[in-house]
Amino acid sequence: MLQLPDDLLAYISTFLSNKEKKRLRSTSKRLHSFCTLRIDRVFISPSYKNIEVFRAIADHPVLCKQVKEIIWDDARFEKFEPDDQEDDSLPEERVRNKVDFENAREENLMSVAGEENAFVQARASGFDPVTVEPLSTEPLLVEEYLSLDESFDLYNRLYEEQETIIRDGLDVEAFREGLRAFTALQRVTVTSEAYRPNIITPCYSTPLIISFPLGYSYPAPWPWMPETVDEAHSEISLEDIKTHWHGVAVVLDALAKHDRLIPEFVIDTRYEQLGIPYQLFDSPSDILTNFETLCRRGLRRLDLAINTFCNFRNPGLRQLPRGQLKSVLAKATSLEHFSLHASSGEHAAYDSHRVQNETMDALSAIPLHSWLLKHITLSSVPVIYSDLVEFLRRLPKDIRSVGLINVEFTESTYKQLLEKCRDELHWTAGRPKLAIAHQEGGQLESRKLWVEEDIADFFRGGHNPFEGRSRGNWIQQGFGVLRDDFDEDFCKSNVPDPMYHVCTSPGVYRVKTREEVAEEQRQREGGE
Amino acid sequence: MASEAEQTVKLVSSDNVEIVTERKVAERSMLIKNMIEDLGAPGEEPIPIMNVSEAVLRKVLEWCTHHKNDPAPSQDDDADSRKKTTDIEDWDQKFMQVDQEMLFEIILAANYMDIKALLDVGCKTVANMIKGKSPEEIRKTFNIQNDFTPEEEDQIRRENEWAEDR
Repeated sequence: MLQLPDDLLAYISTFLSNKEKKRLRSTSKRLHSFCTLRIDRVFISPSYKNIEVFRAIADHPVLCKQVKEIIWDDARFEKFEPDDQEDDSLPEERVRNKVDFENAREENLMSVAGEENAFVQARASGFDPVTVEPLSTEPLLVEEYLSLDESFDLYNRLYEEQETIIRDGLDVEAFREGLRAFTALQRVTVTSEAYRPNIITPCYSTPLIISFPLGYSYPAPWPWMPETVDEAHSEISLEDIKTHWHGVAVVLDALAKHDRLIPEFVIDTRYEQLGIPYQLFDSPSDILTNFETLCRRGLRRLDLAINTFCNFRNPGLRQLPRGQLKSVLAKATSLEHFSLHASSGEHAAYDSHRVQNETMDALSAIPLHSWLLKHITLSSVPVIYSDLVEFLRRLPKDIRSVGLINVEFTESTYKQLLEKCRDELHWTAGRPKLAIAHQEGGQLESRKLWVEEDIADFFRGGHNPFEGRSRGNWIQQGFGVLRDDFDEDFCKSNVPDPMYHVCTSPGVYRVKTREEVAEEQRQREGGE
Repeated sequence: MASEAEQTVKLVSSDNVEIVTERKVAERSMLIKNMIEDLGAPGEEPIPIMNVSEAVLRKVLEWCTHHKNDPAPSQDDDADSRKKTTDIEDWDQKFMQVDQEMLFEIILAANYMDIKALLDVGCKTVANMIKGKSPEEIRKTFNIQNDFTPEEEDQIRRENEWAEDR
């Protein structure tokens, strides 16, 4: 291989993933010299490991120019007391203890059928979330599962480290350096989901997560759900926001003060019931001023996830248009790509009550005509049908794509919505592309049924993917594909097993009789 | 005068062997296509393929013959879309079942003769030989000497930690 010139060796390496590149560049000096790792995104959080790697890449003369995205992992290790005695006097507010820690470890084990060795193996190779089988058939890695004490000690060290870093502002300092060093930077993402959906197959392989021993089992950190905000409390102070949404607050502050505009800002929750608190938009604050500065400076993409902490007593989403959100968003006059995920918090009440109480105002908080909008996605925003249609009608004429994810409405159906888009909005020439995604019962929470191509077909005269046996609100079998919020490679067609089902008309499948199955089996065997 | 479909061209390998082939086959090579366009009289002047021996040239032309009717590659084949696909169609896989020396000669020839699709098949074949192997197995496969000092190995290990596996 070494007889090939450098440019061809480099070309070969473009067909390799980083995993394979790492092995190839470890073989010899020459192969190391041309085989550059692809680092287009970097991670940061209050962790010495993440900061060390972040800084190393920022200081590297070649790699620093590759980075297009910084991902701030805002998940935080929590305080666990060593005392394993439960304090029954204050069950809601007590600090979690070693028993809770142990319970979380048990839950991790349950996700791999309770086997400690399977846990270690699954962390080494990944695992299938449905069959809970490790993906690799390598021999089991025995005796590597860390004991409760070892895991507890490591977790507490990480917690202490995190608190020190936040207190001393080391994470913020490194982030600011990164903004200066990464000259190709396009996007800053703040995520709650680094350790999700579980610690065995984490959403983001941050350097810290990679550095953990394979047998380390711990409670997966998941932020932005402070106990100070629950269904009884709609009040949340600015200090609470700065404490619990640390990453969001410091990132906005640094971006507002940075001398170059970073054009994309994303809050990444993977459609989970999380987000920045709606109270942030209630009244002026330095965080809001920073957000406004970012908008005003020419932000082109904004993915916003707002937690409305919605319930019967606290219709949070309804507050949004009454606060500052619309006027702040209207400053983003260069915005082309907007996404709004309105989570309802832990105490979600998915019912018509929620829809009727909150809806109209939520859409009116979006200043459509202040922007240069090309792409819009609404996720988990409850709407009234007529308002949604009106909203879609008001979209700019040159809008390219519209996404509706878990958007619920009453008074009508998706079947009728599509007819409306075709007949009255005339979305028939391939623009905008409309994508609709729904959570499907009986599936993992992270899996949604997406329909997009079939909608385009319908607009061109094909079958309505919502028309079939249901009343018009479900994507019919045979239409759309199942995708996973956490696994980009997962894609499954929405067709029942053809061995046992027969399609009688578009969207309608019938289970074959035993005789039909047997007959087909005979024909197949005859054919062979 | 023969129609373009019936025209032949004479190629001369680096070891001075003349090979006659269909113009359409030869024009899978952008190098030859451009030379024919520059010379203006296909078939009359032999075209020297200076860096490619007869054995390799015949092998390359075998590939070009099989793929002579392939559509021209689109302009959108950007670097990004290449990264993960190392799928190779069955005929090409069998074609590439040659010893390593011939494999690298084909890659060099494809690069010199400017046949991008063949270059990609060759490079993907090498990439597939690398995939799933440990550094030691890669060294063994391609006869590579480990010339790192322990300190350099440490540094590489650290650098490797910086990148995700994707």
